[in-house]
Amino acid sequence: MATHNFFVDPDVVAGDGSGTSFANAYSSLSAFEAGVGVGDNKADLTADGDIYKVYCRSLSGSDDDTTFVLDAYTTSATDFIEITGDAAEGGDFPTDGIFDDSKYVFHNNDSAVNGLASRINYVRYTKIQFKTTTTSGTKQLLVFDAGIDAGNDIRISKCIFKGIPGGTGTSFAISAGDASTLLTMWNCIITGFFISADPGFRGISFSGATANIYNCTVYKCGLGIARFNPATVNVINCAVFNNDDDFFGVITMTYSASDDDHTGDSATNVQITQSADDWAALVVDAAGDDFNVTDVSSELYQAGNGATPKSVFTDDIIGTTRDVVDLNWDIGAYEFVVVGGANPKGPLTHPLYGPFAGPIAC
Amino acid sequence: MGSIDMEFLIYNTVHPLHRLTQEQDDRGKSAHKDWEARKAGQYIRGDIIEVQPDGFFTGLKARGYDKRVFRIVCVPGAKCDKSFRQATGTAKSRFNISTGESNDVTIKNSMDELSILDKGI
Repeated sequence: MATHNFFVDPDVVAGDGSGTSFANAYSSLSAFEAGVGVGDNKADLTADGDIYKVYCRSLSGSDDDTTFVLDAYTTSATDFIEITGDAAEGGDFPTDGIFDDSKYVFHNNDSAVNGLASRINYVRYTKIQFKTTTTSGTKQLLVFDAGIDAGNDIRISKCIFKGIPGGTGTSFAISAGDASTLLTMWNCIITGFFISADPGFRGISFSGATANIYNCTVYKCGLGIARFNPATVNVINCAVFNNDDDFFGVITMTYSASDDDHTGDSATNVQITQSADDWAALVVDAAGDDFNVTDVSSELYQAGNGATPKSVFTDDIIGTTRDVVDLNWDIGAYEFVVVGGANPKGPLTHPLYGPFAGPIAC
Repeated sequence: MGSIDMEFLIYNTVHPLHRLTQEQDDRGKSAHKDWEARKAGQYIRGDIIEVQPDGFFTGLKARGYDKRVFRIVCVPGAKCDKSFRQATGTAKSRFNISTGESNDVTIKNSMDELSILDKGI
């Protein structure tokens, strides 16, 4: 088994386009797909037991706006493709988790129904920024519409999806219609898929698939998370607010926060009331794409539950470790860290840590 | 945007899914529900992969391209605008191309019927 690294940079200059380094990067993810069959970029990852890590950056801030279909590869649970902006090999995903157009962005620039049609069984999208511009017609971003076989594992983590709507149309950040799709998604931010009173703009839309969505933040979309038959959608620890309809369809949700009232679905859910001043008491700057938990008075703070998702991940979108106490997890993509140290690992009034730390009066 | 030359990134090899052994093909059929559609949707030699302004792929400050996979050709006088690309639902795209003085829009996914200049690179 070997891990092969490939590199994508829309701003590469004078390389050989082989994708073997950033100096010789593919100029787009589409070029990685089109380059299959040459060098280490083989179509069948299972033949030799390979993992492909595709690192993305944008040296001068150009978008990767070549839409494509990812479907040439044969993968397995141990032989998969990870497309990542992780800085480990030079990717440039924003370290603060706030959308940044000067970094790598995969952009459906009003040009295609599907931005990236993902049709392989084992693929992971990690720390990638996605953006779609929509002025008319259907412009989706990450789509799971066909070609996925039973027994798959598709993961989306620490990604940011940003919609730039204009005019009319239909636009989804993520659309999953292939009924075989088994999707796990965590620590992602979806924002801006919205035109007033138009349900054609949605954050996440499932018309097939089984999906588990943990600790995601979905803000200012037409429909936040939408489920249509026969999909199965489970949501835990998600902050879904300021959408025309936060949750649409039958969705199993627990420990999630919404400004609609979903406490009737589960008493563990939180009804957000902190909408004043552009949600300033809830998150730092929603309009500025900063969804950090404001402080310990935020309704997201320690309102989640890590019991289920901790088997998948134990940190947040920027790598902050989630609380070791399950019921102290925050809701949404960020875990709040009290100034002066790591997360409180016990009562808020512990003398050594916590927001109200201090000497015990005798 | 005025009329400028365009560089066409052309697929110039045989896709690995089109050169499988019988055993590999049989394994693919049994493993994947949409195997034939997947094979049929892959690039063939001559398909247009990308269309960009002249100098995008070639020249001192260009991005470069993998010469093992692609070839670059140039269409003199072709007009470049942002709506030139259409997805097809497969790996392939179609391109709205306004060529020469006629500015007739032609929708293509391969290089046939276009008056082209091979850049010979």
